[in-house]
Amino acid sequence: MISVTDLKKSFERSEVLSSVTVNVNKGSIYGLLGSNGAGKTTLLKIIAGIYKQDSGQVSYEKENVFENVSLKERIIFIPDFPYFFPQYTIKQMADFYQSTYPNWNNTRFHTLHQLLGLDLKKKVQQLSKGMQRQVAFWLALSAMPDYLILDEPFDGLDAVIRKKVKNLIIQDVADRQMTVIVSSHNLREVEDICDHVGILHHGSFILEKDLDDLKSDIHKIQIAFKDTPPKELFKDFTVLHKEKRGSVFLVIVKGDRKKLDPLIQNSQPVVYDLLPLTLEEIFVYEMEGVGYAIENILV
Amino acid sequence: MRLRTSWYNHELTKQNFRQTGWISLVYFVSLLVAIVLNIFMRIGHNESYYYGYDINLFYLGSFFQVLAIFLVPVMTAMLLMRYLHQKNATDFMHSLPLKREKVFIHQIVFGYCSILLPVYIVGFILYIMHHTLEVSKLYGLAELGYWLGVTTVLLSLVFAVSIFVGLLTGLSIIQGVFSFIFLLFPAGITVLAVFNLNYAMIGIADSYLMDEKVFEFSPITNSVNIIFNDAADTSTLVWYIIVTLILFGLSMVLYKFRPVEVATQAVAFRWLRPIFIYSFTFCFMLVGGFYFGILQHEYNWILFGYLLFSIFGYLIAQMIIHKTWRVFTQWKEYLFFLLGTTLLVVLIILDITGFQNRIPATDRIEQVYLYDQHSRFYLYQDLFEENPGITAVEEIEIVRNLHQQFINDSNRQDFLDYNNQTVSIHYDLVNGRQLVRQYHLDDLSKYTGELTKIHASDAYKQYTQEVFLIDQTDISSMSVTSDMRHKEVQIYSSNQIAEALEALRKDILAQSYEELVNPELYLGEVNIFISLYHSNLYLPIYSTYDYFLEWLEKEKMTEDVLLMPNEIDRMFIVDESINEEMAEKGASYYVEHNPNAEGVIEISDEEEIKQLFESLVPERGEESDSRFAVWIYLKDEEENFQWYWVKKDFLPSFVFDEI
Repeated sequence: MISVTDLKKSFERSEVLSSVTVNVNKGSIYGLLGSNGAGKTTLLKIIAGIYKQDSGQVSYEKENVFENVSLKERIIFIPDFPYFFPQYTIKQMADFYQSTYPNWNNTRFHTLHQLLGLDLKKKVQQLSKGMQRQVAFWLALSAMPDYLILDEPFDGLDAVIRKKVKNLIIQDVADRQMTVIVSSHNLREVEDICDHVGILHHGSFILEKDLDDLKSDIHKIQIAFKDTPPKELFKDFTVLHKEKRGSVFLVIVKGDRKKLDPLIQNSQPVVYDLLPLTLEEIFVYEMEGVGYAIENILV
Repeated sequence: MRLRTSWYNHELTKQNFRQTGWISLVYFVSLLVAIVLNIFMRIGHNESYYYGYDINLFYLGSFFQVLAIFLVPVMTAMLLMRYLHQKNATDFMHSLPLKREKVFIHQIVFGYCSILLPVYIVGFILYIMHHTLEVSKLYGLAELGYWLGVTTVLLSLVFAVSIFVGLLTGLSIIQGVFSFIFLLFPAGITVLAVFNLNYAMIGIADSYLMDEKVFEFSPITNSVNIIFNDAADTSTLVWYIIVTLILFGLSMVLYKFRPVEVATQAVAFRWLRPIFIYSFTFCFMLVGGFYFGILQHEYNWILFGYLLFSIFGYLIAQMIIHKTWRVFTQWKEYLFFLLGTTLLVVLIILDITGFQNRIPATDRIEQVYLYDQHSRFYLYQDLFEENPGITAVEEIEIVRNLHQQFINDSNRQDFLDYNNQTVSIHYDLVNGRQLVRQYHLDDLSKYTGELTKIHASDAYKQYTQEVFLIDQTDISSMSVTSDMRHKEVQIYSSNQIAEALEALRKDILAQSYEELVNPELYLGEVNIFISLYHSNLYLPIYSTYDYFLEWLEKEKMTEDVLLMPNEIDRMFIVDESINEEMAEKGASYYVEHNPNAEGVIEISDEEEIKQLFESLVPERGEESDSRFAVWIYLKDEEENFQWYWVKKDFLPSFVFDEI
């Protein structure tokens, strides 16, 4: 479990992170969302033990990460532009990783080699951006980290490779309880793998959710009545959104379905549909609830 | 199985080698060419000319060697610290499970090995050559050891400076440039500060500092001293080692506190930024004062220079920090700078420490030196170690008195006028400290009386005149020549040299105040060849040099070196004051073209010549009434003549009868 408590960080005089608190459970994949400049990369670099926070704490299983070698041996951070030593071939880079990360798994490395099909003798910096990113995943996953921190990892990968990489990550999470934090400015890119999502805006979280909870908790209801609709039908629920199209009401309601269903049935509607919500829709409405327009925060 | 606790990381070493190994290799090959190959080339030549007299391994390819000592460590440090200056590299390196100290020590040790290995391999080759080849005329093991030691110390110092600078900045280019600025800084700032202080204060001993001390302040300027001396000042080398260690220690501490995110920023630490801005502006301001002081010699221009260059410096510093040209809106710090500088200038001008009027009390003075040729004075102090100064109380009083007059007569402007003469006073105090002042005075002649008293003192003669400083064993030969250069005697015997030197010293010490102002007849000169530093020392022989003349007599050399009356064919005496025309055309015209004119008499009688010759007393004054011109022509040497102004009063009476 990674727990970040009351983290603050400023560059020069501008505050990049103002009191960030977040917990990531072991074996989960946490999606860190936010627009450009929201502070995602800074947060990830502090979590990876690269930057030092001004105040607050980052701990893994109660251990602080900064300058903690034995902990960092189990963490790999892949930045938005992965770095490789100049003039190094994939093989040389792999040797470096092997000597640096004690959990390095050569079998894994060769299995992934088969899967990705890249030439070991190629100089990494001469490869295309997408290929370099594949190499970064390849090396990272061969090092068998317990924690994988990814900054905008899917940018520039084509659909096939993206799928491959996602599968590899999910597999490791399932097999070895690897914990993953992945940042993105694009919800659609990560919604299929994350189980938790947090939205960072101007250096603090405006929303943090378990996706399963989210999906089961928010309901899009189309409802129509013969006569005037009953007043205060949803008074025990949070209404995130309400609109009227002709005589049909469209309501987004937050709450337990088991309580919602009988309530609506009792009011005898002419039409009652409970529609599925996409994750994006959920966010749109959730954010309206806290007073933000999602276009301003996510792409 | 990997040793987890070890400081050695094989893969990091490999990475470093791939990145910086080439420098090491190039350095090694260049040292091979500059030194080893050079020695082989010299072995082939048998001429001893090639061997010279002062052998020092730095003389071989010296330009390259010195260049490499400063370039190689800086370049190595730049590449090794590259991982701190490149954003993605620094993130990567700091995401690895490696402690900062480990990475740092690793980089330092690697860099150290990569710059020293070429030197030690070449050293080893030279050692083998020394045992197998006939190179003893070129170098011995002591020279080899010296070369290795000095090279190691200098390389280490430069490397440490560059690493230190590398941690203070987030830009490799700044690291490179400021490594050299740091190395030059102590000397540069001293020159600038002393020069500029001179505008505001009188008495600053700029020559003392700038000619003597300042070159020792920077390893770059001092390297010439260290490298080309056969034995460098050990204390300097020890200091360099201490500074190297301190810098490595400081660098390690800095690295622990250095934020990773400052890569690509000019100044890595926030607290350092104001220091950088203010000191950069200050240095530029001093450069402005220096520049306009040299070119314009005028206070308004200097003030203009301060203002202009401080603005330049301030803007450049801001540009470096913000990495943009657009800094023209930020003037707050400049305002603080102006206020601070104004305060500083006021404090300096008010002379709150009493610097300008400080004259040590007589009982606090152990000895004092007064000199007007500072470079020669320090040359002698260097060559001949410490020479005792003036210790007699009455003479010290004269110097103190002169000092007070200099203070009173000096003006701040005097420093700007390069026609002025400079006089320095150097007190060694009882408490072991020194007080050195220098004055730029427009007219020294008004102090002639007191100055000459000092000049006539034994101590002054002894610390200013080379003849008292050289050792008899450093003299390989002497020659004594007549004034007319028609006779010369060479002296090689060390006994004779010792006696002659002794006699000359006594004569010079015996020269009185009057004789200094108005010396007696010049008879010839002694030319002393000093083997110590291959130069000649010329000393005049005056007719008052009784000891030396006596010695010549004793050695039966008088007739061989001095002009004798019996060699004179004829003499002319000219009274220029006799009429206007004579004064206008000059005595020489009449002697050559009209020897029968009125006021010119020719003397050819042997007895008269002898009488006249022995009564010649030179007249160095300007009044024409009291002097005659005397021409001397030698027998058998029609072209060779000499003439003097002589005092009328001392001439024999027959001259007046004839004239």
